[in-house]
Amino acid sequence: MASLCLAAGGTPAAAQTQPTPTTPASPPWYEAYQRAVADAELENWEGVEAKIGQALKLNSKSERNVRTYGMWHASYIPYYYLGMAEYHMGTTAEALKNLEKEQAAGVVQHDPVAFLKLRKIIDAISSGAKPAHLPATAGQTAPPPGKGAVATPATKSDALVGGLQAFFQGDYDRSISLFQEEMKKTSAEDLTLHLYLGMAYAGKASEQPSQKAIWRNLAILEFQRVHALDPAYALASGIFSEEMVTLFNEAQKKK
Amino acid sequence: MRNSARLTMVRWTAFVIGVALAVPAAAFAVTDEEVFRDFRFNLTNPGARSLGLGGAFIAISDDATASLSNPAGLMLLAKPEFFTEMRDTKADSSSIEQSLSGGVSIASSTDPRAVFSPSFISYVHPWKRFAAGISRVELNKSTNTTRNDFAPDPNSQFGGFALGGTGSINTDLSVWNVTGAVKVTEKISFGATVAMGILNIQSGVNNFLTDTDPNSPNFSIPQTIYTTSINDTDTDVAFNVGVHWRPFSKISFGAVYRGGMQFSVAEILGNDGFFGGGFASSVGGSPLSTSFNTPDSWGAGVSWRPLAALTVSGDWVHIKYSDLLAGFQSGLNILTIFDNSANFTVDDADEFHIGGEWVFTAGSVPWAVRGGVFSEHNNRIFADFNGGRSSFSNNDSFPPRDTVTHYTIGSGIVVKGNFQIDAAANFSEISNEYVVSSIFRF
Repeated sequence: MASLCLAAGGTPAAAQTQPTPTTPASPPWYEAYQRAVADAELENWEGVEAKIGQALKLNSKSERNVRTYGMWHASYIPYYYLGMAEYHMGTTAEALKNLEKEQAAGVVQHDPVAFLKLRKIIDAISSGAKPAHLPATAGQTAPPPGKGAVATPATKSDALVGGLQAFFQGDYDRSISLFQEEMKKTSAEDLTLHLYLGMAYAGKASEQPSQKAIWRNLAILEFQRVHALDPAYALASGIFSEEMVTLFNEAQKKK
Repeated sequence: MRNSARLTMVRWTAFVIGVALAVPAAAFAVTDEEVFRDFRFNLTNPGARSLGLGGAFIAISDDATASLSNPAGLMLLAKPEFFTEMRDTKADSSSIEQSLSGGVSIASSTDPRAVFSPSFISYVHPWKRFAAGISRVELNKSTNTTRNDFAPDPNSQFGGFALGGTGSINTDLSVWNVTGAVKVTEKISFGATVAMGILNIQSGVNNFLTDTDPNSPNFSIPQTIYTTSINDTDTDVAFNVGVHWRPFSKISFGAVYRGGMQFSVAEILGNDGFFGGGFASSVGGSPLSTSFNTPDSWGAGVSWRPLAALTVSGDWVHIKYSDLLAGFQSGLNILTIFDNSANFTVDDADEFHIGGEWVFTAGSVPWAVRGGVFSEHNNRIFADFNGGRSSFSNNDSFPPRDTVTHYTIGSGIVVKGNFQIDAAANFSEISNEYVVSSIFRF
């Protein structure tokens, strides 16, 4: 799931409304932002673009764990949603600019799923691919059917996506295999890959109590690499299980 | 000095008949009995977060407690919330001991029992421009026992005996609220609550006379002179309305009006044989229709968030405590029996709440620490006797209470991004209170 989904229940009809004009009575950034996130889930990209525009006028800084209302916190990754909307609306140059801006801000990396999507779109734009619903121009390859609205990722991401899917399906053996395969192809140290592989090992530890210690140690090794690559990296509460977060934090202490 | 119990009764009967004729028919009302002396309502905004902030929540009202604190605040919620609260209240015992002129001594005491109960539960569902919620709050849940003693000078007109009363009361006033809020503009919301209160009350008071003449055959044997008892339920409906205005992203204002409720329960006057039925007649007959009122109140607040992590807020609340006097019934306390000069009163009050909250993250977990202070004006109905005294008591027998300052602290944490748990403590000279509340956000 993307990092934030504050929407209470925007109806499809509401989501199809035209961009709200920006008035002096603009809502605080999170109100516009959560509506944009709701629109993104409904793939109402015009709505996303308009509402992220409102949010950016009030808060232009990507931020992790920023306070919204009450005690609730959320990651604020507006350029990710703006870039995604622009990509789906066919303005790939602006999309690339915003997605790279979001990546440079270093916040989206804390949401593995959003980060994966961001990387896939950047890869797709770099390879000249366009979203499925847009016509492919000469010399460009349209994504194959059945891959959804997001463009076909580069080959190296197939294993990543497959590994992640296997992880969420509880097929940790396949998940580990695919992440290891992906890692062999990657020359540079990749924080996300180490994180995912560590998560898969941790999943295996919970699945096999008899060999829990072995799998936990393997997970800790991968998490330690994550900490080495980014000492400030922390797993977002609410996305991962408490057990996973504990293990991840334990790895940092054992460094 | 008299020397027999019979003489005591004769004197009493004469006294009763004489005074009873002078007592006008009394209105039906909450009474001056000891069991109601420290009868208090929980009018502080619900929720441990609110309590940690000293109850200053009218302008914040950004969780499911908004149904009560400010119905318009429901529009601040972005996702549905389920809210529960547990409250542990221990009111301090209170006692009055005094000597009146002529050697009369009076002692009375109220001993509340600690109450631990699920005091607030709420569910709120917000939409884009409308939000609705349902909640239940306990405005009063208490158990008190009381005792009062009246011992005239043995050499006085009414010497040779002592009067006393023992009582107990259990009350449960729960209110069901249905709340709706609408966003009028991006900066202004309105909300309203329809509240249905259910009062359940059981009380019993035994008033007795004890012969203090060592030569009397009834020496030290308490004789019941009358009893009162309530075992009844009543309901009433009231309305709350609120407005929330956020002119700037860092400053919010709120205002709220909360309507009071009026309940009526049957109070049985029994064992009136000592006075030959004269006591019940003197107060209008049995059963009495005794009323319990919750006061109207209105207030306004401001909230300022100078930093993303810091919130400070302040509320002013005006409570119309004089509503408690509507239909007030004196003459049921043993100290004011047959006493037409026993007038009681209570003043309306302005109370102030201020608080602050600092929210930080430990790793990715949001934590909050809070502190606050608020004033609680006297809400005890007190004596305003003609000339400062009545037959068996004076104004000091039914004193008001000083304004009390409450100090609050609290903390909160968000777990797994959608579960919030808060705790708060409230310390004062008259009671200590501990609240734990949780919010599950869907």
